[in-house]
Amino acid sequence: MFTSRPTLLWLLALPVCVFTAFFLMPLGVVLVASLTTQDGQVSFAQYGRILMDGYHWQVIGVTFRLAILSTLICVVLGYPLAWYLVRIVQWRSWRRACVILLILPLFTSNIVRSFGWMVLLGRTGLVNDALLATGLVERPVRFLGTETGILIGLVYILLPFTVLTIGNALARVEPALEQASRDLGAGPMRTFFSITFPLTMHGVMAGGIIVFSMAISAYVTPALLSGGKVTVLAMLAFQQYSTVFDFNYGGALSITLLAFTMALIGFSSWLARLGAHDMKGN
Amino acid sequence: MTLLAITNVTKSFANYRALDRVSLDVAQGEFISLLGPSGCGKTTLLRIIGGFMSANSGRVVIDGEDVSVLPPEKRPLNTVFQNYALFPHMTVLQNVAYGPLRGGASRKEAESRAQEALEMVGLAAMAPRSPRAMSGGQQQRVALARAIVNRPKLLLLDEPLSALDLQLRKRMQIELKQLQVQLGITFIFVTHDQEEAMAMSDRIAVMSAGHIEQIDVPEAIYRRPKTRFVADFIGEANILPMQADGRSRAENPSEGVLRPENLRVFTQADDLPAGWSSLPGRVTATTYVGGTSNIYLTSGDRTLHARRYSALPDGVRDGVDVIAGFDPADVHVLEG
Repeated sequence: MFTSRPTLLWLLALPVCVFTAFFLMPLGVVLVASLTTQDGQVSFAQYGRILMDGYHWQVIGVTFRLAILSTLICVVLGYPLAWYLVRIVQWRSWRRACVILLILPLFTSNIVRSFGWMVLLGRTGLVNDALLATGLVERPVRFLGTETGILIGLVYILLPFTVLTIGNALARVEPALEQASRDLGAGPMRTFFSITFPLTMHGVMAGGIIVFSMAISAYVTPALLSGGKVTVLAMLAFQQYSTVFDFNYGGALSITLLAFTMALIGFSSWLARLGAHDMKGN
Repeated sequence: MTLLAITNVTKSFANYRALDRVSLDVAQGEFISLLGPSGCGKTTLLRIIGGFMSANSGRVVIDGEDVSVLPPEKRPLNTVFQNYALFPHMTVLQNVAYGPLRGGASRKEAESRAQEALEMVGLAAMAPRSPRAMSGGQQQRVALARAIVNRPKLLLLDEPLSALDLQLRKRMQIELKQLQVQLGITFIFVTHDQEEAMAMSDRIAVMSAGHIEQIDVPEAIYRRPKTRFVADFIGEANILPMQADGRSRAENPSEGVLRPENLRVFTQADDLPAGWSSLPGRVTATTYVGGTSNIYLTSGDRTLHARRYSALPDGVRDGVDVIAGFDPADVHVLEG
């Protein structure tokens, strides 16, 4: 297929304009703001303020712990769910119903869902009632205002993304490949770890990256479920913008979050590639 | 010695019966083809032997051991899959070494055995490559190397040549047969291509609608088909009513099959050899391809096909009235 250069430029012009106007420009504004002091001088003072302070490191730690844990839980819960949808369900309408059930929460507002969890996770909420009734705990468990509560809320919202990406990858694995592995003497477990899992790795990675970037930048869920007792980086940045009006400091917080996120995603992709390479021979 | 014994295997799916009490004995070292049109149950039977599907009833015994309930990894056989099913995330060598590794070999030993198997199929130099970057013929050889590297007692081949072009297919047929003789492995070969089955097999099991119509050596299948289905499916056949010449050995009026090469076309009744039967006919079409001439004629409401391995006889053209003659001894009476 041949497309002439002017045509190509025209085709690209619109996306480039949109991307520049709505993504690069705001990001540039934030970046510039983060590198200036309030009286307009260029300095790294904002970053110094963040990185030299133990409190910020603690918030960064909480933020990343929550994001990494929700990613792991979403993958670990999402894989069997995807397996069920793709491999076990034979009846097409039931599969469709399951997918709708799965993505239904995404149709409602984030705030509504988080309030829902506040009701469910409260001292006398449904979750504690159930735990008490079954005798698993003697006293109501405190979920609200803890990282556990935030984690539950995040996993609930983000689970569909891993199920969908992993399910998609799983559906593309030819059943004949798994049969060939069994035929060559590998049991079901071996077949899963040598054939199926490596071949769905891209789906796991894609889902993981989506969940991670959404969890790390999540504001509403942590803000509502933390009860002010747990703070994540996005909440700090929001405070600076909305209540303190310190755009320079808020910008620096945002850029710090972005930098750490990209570093971690880069690192884990590299790790995954390394792992995939190792797994081949086994 | 019987290596594989299949007894009364039945398999039903939701709305139809794929296999109906199929029994089959395969001897050690035999090359046997399961031949039939799509939907005849041949692939289902292969999958039941391989352990990828379980039968509703019946037994599969390999080398004296009942494997009916064993999973595929516990059965002493390997499979060449229809679309090769090579692992795309592994190199050619890793694909072939997968079997020996599962069998408990060390990595070094597995790789040397894999290399050896690749040499047997002429792909030793391709070991470090990715199977995705290979041609269909090469992938097919890798699949073959992967299936024979563990030296199974029984090799199942599910239409392994169907994706190859004609020339390559013919060459692979010969190579497969040579490999089978060289290794002494019993082959069960599923195909819908009757020429392929005829060219390679020691015995052919012709299948139709979930059961085996006939199982015999290729020549017998061709010359003495039991049923009309077999007669039609293998080669070309002129079906003749048997009461016409009174040679029917069956108690009921039945049909006989006459192969096109045994039907000759004469322009004059006087040329007919003594003792031959004849049918009047009119030529509808003639072809001459590659040293073979084919004459198609109508006789009453029947279409007849005559073939000879020489030029068309003089005076045989479309629309000419001729006499089709045959030696009654060449007519084979069908059972069913």
